Amino acid sequence: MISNSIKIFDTFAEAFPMKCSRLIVTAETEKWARTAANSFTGFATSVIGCGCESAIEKTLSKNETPDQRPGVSILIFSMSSKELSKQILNRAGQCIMTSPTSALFSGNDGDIKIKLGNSLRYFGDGFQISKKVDKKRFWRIPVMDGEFICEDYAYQVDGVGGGNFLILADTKLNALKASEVAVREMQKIPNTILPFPGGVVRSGSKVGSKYKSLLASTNFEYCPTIKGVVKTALSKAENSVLEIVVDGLTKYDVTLSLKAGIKAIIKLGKKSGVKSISAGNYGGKLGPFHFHLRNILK
Amino acid sequence: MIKIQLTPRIIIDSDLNLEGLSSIDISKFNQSKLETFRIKYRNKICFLRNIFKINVEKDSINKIIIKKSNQFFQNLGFKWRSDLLEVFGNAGSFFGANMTGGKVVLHGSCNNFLGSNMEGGEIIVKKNAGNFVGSSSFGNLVGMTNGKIIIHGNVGNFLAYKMRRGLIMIKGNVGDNCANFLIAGTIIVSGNIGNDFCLGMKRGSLVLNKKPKNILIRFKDCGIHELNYYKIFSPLLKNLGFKKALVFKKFTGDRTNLGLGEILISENY
Repeated sequence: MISNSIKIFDTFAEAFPMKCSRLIVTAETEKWARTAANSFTGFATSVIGCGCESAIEKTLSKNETPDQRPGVSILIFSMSSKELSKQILNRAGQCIMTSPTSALFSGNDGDIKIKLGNSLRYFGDGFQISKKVDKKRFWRIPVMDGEFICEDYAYQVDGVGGGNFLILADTKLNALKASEVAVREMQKIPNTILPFPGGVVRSGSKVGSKYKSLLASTNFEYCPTIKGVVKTALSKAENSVLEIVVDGLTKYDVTLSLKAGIKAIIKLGKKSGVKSISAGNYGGKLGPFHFHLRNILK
Repeated sequence: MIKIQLTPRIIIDSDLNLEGLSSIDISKFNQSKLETFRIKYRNKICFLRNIFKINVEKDSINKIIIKKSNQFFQNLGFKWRSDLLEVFGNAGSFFGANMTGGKVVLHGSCNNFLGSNMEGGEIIVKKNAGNFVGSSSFGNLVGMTNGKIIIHGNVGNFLAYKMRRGLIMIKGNVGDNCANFLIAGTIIVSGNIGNDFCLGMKRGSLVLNKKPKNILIRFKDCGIHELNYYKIFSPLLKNLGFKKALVFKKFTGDRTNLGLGEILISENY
């Protein structure tokens, strides 16, 4: 299938069920809310090495936050409930609580609780104050700039992680420009995040390695500098590949995000230098969620 | 959904005990059962139909409406569990006491022990309330343990005595001995407060919009602070007359029993 001179491979992206939670970080100004959130979501690009995948979902206005201050919403994904709880608690304690004027709230409801203020309260050394508003409990922990307000629990919900597509372009710069355009559109889709730096991955991986200790290694089929020595997936004109990975709350959200990204690139056309769009999968054996590129575009 | 409207057939001039009203399951409504529902009037058991004219209609939510009530209507909303109870007129004592859920609205004033030992739900009183609002009643060690009480008028003495948790908001003035032996919970008062408040306070918060006559020496001045937590309540506080910036003078106590309760006095008055 060729759309606006860009080839769309008849393949699919393979994604996995993950555990997810949404958090809301607020502060006196949007700048400090974002600073706290950036700290929280740092080193959270892939579950392979970081334990979780996390990014800012969107910026929230004063009217959208529980304490009527500017804020941001964060989505965090992990493979297990235990790991998700651990990552949230560690990051909340070290990155949000330490950030000036910040407060932390749960951004979703669910049946499975994740300790938040319920554990962080002990930092208050007995001077912490518990407050219950309707069915939610908040903790007021005395800190050096006043009080750190933190909700008692965050809540776990099911999510989908690893939706992706590959941008195959003639040059590195063109691949980068196209990916930036796609990321801009994909970031507008609610309930999704792009966990990698700037939303883009250059080191796409495959499962396994010749080195036994490694779980994943470079996806050599898409590495242009070794295309003469391996079974390559690249044509002669394709000399740079970038991947965009999406995590979302539902399969539908991920589909919308992939569609927005791919359509944005197709719109750029031949001049963009993008030759084709493909997707990463493991033969359909590992992940239950399959995103067929051609179906997405229908 | 069903609306049950109860209007007295007779003039109620003696105690009418309506504590069993919460056991009416509106969702499984049954006309004959309702008519033969037993209540106590003048210490005698009688059928609901003998005292009230019962009118049933379809509505968007399940609710019971009581019209022409007066101070002899005791225990209205006692152990109320769900749905809405709306009362037009005044009410007697123990209004919404021991309630666990739902919403109770009184378009009038009530006597003592409003919401005492309350465990959940919401009470709204459009006029005044008597003594011991949200407090522990006879034989109980703690007062209300959850829920919300909003009073648009004034309140008597011993508000929130031994209150354990929950939220009480008062638009008018409060009498003496408010928040004595407060264990936890939040009380917000827009009007004036009487004497001897917060004696023996352990934890919890008393938020005042107007400066009290004096603060006991047993409370320690912790300075003036902008407390973000109260921004969660800011729409409610604005309705109560608090201004936009939530800056408070904070006192902590009662330090004679090493209490960590807080008295917050709005700096915006």
